Amino acid sequence: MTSRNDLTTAPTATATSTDRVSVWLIQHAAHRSPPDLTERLQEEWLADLGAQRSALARLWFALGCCWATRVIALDAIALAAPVARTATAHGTVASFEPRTGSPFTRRGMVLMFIVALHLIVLSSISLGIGGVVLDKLPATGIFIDVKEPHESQPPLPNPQPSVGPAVRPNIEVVPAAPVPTLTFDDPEPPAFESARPVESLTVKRVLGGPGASFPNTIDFYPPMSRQLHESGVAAIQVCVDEHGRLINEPEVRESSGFARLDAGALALAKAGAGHYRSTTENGVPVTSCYAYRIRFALK
Amino acid sequence: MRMSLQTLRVLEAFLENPTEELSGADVQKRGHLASGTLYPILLRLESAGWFASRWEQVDPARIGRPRRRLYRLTSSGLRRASEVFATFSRGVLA
Repeated sequence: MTSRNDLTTAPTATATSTDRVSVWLIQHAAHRSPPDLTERLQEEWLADLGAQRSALARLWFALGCCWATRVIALDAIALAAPVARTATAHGTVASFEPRTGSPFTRRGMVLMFIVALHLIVLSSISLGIGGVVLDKLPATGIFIDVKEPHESQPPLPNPQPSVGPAVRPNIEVVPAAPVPTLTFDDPEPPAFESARPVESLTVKRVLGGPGASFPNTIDFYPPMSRQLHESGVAAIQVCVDEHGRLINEPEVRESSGFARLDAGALALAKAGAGHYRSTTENGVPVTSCYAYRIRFALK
Repeated sequence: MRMSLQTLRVLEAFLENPTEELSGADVQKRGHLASGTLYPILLRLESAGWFASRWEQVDPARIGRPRRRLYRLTSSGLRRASEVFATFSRGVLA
């Protein structure tokens, strides 16, 4: 009796999870017994637990001890009650509880509890408790609020009329003041070409551009360019779908005059994939191509 | 003492060898009783004086397991148990 009885008060490293539960049940049951029996029952039950043959037998044993605790507690209460004693003709002393006529005897209460438990389980199965729980869940689904462009934003001037219903109109964006050009340490406002007067269009078109979470230009200013004091403005053309995703490789529309800065601008444009604002027509995002300027400047 | 069938099984396990000390697990195996039934019976019989119990004289740290509680029939318990079985063998309920 060594390995089978290796279930001490504390779970060992090799004990299965079932055995841990069994040990916990016994400790819990012992603590619910009369105080003068707690320590004794815990040690006794843990010792006898180790004699059980399987993990399932040990679990059953532990569950039985939980029941035994209740019976022992009731016995302790009954001992405190007056008990009638009677002697048989053979000298055997027998004792019994006086009949009070009440149906709420110990056996009766236990039986009623068992019957009630079975009724609850059967009724829950027949009624489909799972379905009741599901019915009570909110019927609404998961809604994702898509923030539409605010209608009060001033539309950017359209320098040229749109080519038509083509998917990729070649729109040369010359951003006005509300759309800032990305600069590096440039305190002065960006220089933009003044907007040309446009014809009034039936379609309210708001050009897209770099979004709020667009990468910082400073992170893409080539170190060598900084060292060589190279600065300039590159215009990069991108095509963005209605979700703000790049659908083509960014291209240099206007060079900054330095290949390194152009490469940095292209890298920035690619890094901003997913962070572009789409062009909208009457508030509906559409796929479009546009160019925007990236300024690399030193203080 | 309430002589249920389970109680008789417990007494029968001890009457096989009245001088032998048995642990609860031993009685459980011999009497085919559940732990929830067995231990209240053992405690009732002990409190009624039919049984006496003691701790196993071992060092738990050395043997690597808790001590067992060993029960044995007292002299009065042996007499009473014998009377009960004798009564049942005559077909009269006590």
